[in-house]
Amino acid sequence: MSWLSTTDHKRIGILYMAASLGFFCIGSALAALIRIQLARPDQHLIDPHLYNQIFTMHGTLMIFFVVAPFGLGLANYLVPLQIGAPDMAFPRLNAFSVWIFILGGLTVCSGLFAAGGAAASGWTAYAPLSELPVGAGAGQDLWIAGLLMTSISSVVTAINLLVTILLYRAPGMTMWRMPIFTWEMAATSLLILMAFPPLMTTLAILLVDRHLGGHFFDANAGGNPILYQHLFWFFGHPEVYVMILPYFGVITEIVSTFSRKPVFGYVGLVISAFAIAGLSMGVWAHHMFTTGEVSNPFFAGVSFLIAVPTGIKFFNWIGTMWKGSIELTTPMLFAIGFMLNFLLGGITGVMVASPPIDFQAQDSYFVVSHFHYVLVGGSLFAIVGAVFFWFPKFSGFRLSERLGTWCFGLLFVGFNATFLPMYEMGFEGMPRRVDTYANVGHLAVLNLIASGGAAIMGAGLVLFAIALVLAFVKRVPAGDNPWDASTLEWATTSPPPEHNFTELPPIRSEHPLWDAR
Amino acid sequence: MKTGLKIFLNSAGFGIVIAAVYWLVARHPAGTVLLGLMAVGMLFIAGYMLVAERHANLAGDDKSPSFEASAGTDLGIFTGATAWPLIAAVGVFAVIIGAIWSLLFAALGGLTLLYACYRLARESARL
Repeated sequence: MSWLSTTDHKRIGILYMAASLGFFCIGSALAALIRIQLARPDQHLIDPHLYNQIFTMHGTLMIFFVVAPFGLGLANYLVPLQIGAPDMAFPRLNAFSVWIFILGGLTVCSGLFAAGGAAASGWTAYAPLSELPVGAGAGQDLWIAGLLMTSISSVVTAINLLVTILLYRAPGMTMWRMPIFTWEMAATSLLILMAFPPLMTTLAILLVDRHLGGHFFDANAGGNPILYQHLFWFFGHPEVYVMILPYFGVITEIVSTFSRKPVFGYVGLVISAFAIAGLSMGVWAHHMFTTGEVSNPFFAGVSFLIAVPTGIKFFNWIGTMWKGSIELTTPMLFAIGFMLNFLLGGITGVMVASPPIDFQAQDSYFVVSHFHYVLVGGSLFAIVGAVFFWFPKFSGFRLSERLGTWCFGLLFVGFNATFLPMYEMGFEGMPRRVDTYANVGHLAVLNLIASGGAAIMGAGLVLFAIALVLAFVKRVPAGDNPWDASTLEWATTSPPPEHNFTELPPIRSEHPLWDAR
Repeated sequence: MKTGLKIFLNSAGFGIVIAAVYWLVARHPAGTVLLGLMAVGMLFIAGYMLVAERHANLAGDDKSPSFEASAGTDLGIFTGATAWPLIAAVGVFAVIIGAIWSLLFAALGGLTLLYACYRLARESARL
C-alpha cells in the first residue's frame, strides 16, 4: 500500500519503469502475432481488421508507453541522485504524473476488449482513418483518451525534471559538472515541453471532430487532413528524439565507466544534445514528402543537418573508448550493440531524408526496418543495458553476468536477423501494414528469416526476465559502487536511503567519485 | 542560473531563426506559427528567469563551496506519503473519459480533481 501513496522519486521511477516493462510485454506479444502471421506468404491466420488493431496497438504501446516513459522513469530515479538532490522539485506532482501515465496505458489497452476492437488506424491515427465513420468504435476513443493522459504525464514530468536540474543541484554541482545523462534529460524535457502540447491539441481537435460535429480534418466538409499530419508530426518527429536522447545519455555513462576514462568531448556532447533537440523541431514534414504539400528541400536539408550532431556523439563515444581500459561487461556489450545498430538506423535515416529515395521507400518495409534499427536496436538495447548497469543501485543485488552475456548475444543476433531482411523486403516492394503478401521475389524466405529472428529475440528477452528473477532469488550483494563508476548516484548506498545521501563527496568536476580516489 | 538562462535564450533564438527561414522558403503559415510559438515559449521562460530569478543564489552554482561553512544548515523538508496525487489522477481520468461518454462522470471526475487539489494544497500549507 505504501507504493500507492509514495512521493519518493526512486519509487516513482521504479513504478514508471515497471509499468513500461509491463506494457512492453503486451507490445511484444502483439509483435509476435505479427511475425507469426507474416512468417509464410498468403497466410490468413489473423483477420485483416484484427491485424490492423494488432499493429496499431503494438506501435502505440511501444512508442508512447515503453520507450519514452522508460527514459522518464530512469530519469526520475537517477537525475536527483546524479545532481546530489534529496528528491525531485515537486514530489506530489511527480506521483500524479506516474499514476496518470499508468491510467493512460490501461485506458489504451482496454480498447483490446472494447466492442468493435481496439484502435486500428496505426500509431499515427491519420485522419480520415481515425475520424468517423472509418474509425468508428470505442477503441479509437480510448486510444485518444489514453494518449491525452500520458501526454499530461510527460509534460508534468518534463517540468519537474527541468526545475530539479536548474534549481536543486548540490553545492559544487554546477551545470557544466552534471553527468551527460542529466544533460540529455534536460534536452529531452525541453523537447517534451515544445512537442507534446501540439499532440494534445491535435487529439482534442480529433475528439471535437468525432463527438461534437467538427470538420477540422474532414476534406468532404472543407477540413484538411494534411493539417492533421502537420500537427501530428510536429509532435511525432521530436518524439523520436524524446525516445533516443535519454539513451544517448545512458550509453555515454556506460562507455565512460567501462573504458575507465572521463567522457571525451564533454562540451561537444552537451551542445550536440541541444543541437539535435533544436533541429528535430524543424524536420517534421520529412514524413510528408510524398504528400506534395510541403517544402521538400527545406525539410531534407534540416534532416541532413541532424546527422552532424549525431556524428559528434559517435566520435565522442569512440574517443572515450580510444586507448581506454575497456571491460566487456554486459552493459558495455549492450552499449557497443547500441552503437552498431543505431549507426545502421541512422545511416538509413539519412537515406530516407532524401526525397528521391523517400518516394521509393515510403510506406515500405525499408522504413519499418529503419525505425526499428533506431528504436529497438538503439533504444531497447540501451534500456536493457541500463537495467544491467543500474540494477545493483536500484536493488542492492547483482544481475548474472553470464546470463547477461547470453541475453546480449541472443538479442543482437535475433534483432539483426529480424530487421536486416526488412531492408531488402522494402527494396522488393513489400508495403508496411499488410496482413499477408504474395509469394514473389525473395519475400517468402526473407519473412521466414525475420520471424525466426523474432523468436531468437523472444528467447533473449525471456533470459532477461530470468536474470531479473534470479537476482532477487540469489540476492548477491552488489555493494555501493560495483562498477567503480564516477557519478554521484554511486556515492550512496545500494539501494539509496529515502533521503538519498547521508554525506556527499566534494564536487570539483563531472566525475567526483574518481576525484575522491 | 546563467547557463540555464543561456539554454532558453539560445533555444528561443534558434526558434526565431528557423521560423523565419521556414517562412521565407515554404510560405507555410501553420508551420511558421508552430515554430514561432516554440520561440515564444522559450522566451517566456527566459524572461521569467531574468525577472524573477536574477538574484537567485543557488548552491549548485557555487564552483568551490565550503562544506564546513554550510554545516548544520537546514536541509529542507521531505514530502510525506500521500494518496491525493493518485486520487487527482483518477479525477483527470474520469474527466477525460467522461467528456467522451458521460458528462455526469466527467463532472464527478472534475469534483474529485478539485477536492484532491484542495487537499494537496492544504498538505503543502501545513508543511
